[in-house]
Amino acid sequence: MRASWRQRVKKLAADMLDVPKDSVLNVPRITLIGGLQLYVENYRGIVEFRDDLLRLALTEGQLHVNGKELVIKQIFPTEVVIEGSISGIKYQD
Amino acid sequence: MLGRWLLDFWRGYVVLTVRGEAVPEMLNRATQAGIELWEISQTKGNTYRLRMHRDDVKSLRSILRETHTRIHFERKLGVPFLAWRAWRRKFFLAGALTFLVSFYVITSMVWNIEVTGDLKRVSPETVEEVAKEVGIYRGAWKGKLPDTDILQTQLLDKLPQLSWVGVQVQGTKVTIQAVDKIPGTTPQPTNPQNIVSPKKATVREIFVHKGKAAVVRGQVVQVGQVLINGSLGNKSVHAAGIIKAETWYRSDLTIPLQAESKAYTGNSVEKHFLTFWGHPVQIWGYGQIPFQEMETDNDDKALTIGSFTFPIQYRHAVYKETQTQKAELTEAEALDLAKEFAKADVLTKVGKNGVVESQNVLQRGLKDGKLEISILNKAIEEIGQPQEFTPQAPADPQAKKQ
Repeated sequence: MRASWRQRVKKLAADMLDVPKDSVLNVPRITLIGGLQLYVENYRGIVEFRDDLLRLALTEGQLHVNGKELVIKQIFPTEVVIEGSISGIKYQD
Repeated sequence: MLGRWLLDFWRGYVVLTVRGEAVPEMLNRATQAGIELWEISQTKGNTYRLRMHRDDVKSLRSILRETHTRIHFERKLGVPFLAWRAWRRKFFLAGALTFLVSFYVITSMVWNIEVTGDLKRVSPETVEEVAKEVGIYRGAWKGKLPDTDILQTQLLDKLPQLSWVGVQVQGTKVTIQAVDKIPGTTPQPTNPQNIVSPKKATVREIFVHKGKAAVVRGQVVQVGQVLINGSLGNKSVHAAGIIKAETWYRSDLTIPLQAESKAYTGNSVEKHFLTFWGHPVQIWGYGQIPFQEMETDNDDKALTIGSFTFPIQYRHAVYKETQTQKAELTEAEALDLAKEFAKADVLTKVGKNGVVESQNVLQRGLKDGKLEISILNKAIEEIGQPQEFTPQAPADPQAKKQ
């Protein structure tokens, strides 16, 4: 997917100003703690939620979280906390 | 995290399962609507378990309708629900509370008082009464009782006969240990007195401790006659002494020659009852009582709390078979019996050092199958009664004739 002109300007600005890109570019900030906990900020919503797979909608594309016994610990409009035995995370366009 | 949980618990939260095709959509909408959800997990195909605050359930309803999600409450946790349940069982709770309160009240009272110690100069009852004045009585509040050492000093002050008092409070029991003062020698009374005779008698022996003998052995004394004189011419003493004298008692008896007496055969039947307000209801030991003649022993056990007696009591009844035995007495036997009765009767009159010396039959006769008999009993007893006198008028040593 081609980034729009607006996105490019934002990215350029973020590069030049040296600020974290998630706050400017509306891209997710993903924190994975040892395959046990996963924090995803800047997500857009849940697409699918199963015991072994969680699909989150992002601004562009999706985030697949694979694992076992996945539990959504907490869920907020822009942040979600997942626990379980996480075996992998993957971007999907 | 724990603080967080406490907060949730305070607000109250529900565990519920949601079922539907569009659960993720529902979760998204709920999150957008600002509903807090946590611990979401898949249980079966399209059934999910999650937790949420109890006051958010209302706002979830419309979202559930829109996403065709079915909801099922599993558990309701937290203070509001507890309070609600408690309110539903308010009488049960009130009962539990009443029990606890009454238990506390009952255990913080004094229920029994024990006076221990080898007391000779004061009776334990006296100690208990004084303890009551001090504030130790049945039903007294333990919390209101002053310290034991204060109680001890108070008791000692009120009971000068005691040399030491110890007060111990053990649970609902108060133990008062008391120790007598060692009794000193009591001063001999010194008021002038004579010893006089209370009855007509013949003096057998006279021992004078103090004073002057006014009679001699073998002398017959009348009622009120001075036996030991307390006035010794110029001074007066507290006369004292022992006078043994011969006294006479007449006993008139009637002895039936045919006597009936009851005796136990040894057979008995037991029954157990509960009595309700005096009405016995049998609870054990049914069956006919196979005795012609019997005596009944009722042993009632009443439950009392303080001065309150329970109306329901347990009664253990024993029916003992008796047999009437008719005894025919010969005249000689009746005579012996009469003498025995007369002797026993006299012995109650002559004091602890008195003896019956001899018995003479004055007259006897049979009438209607009864032996009518008069017995004259000769007894030896200690006579002598103190009689105060004023020394100004020396007592007249002459015998006062009745």
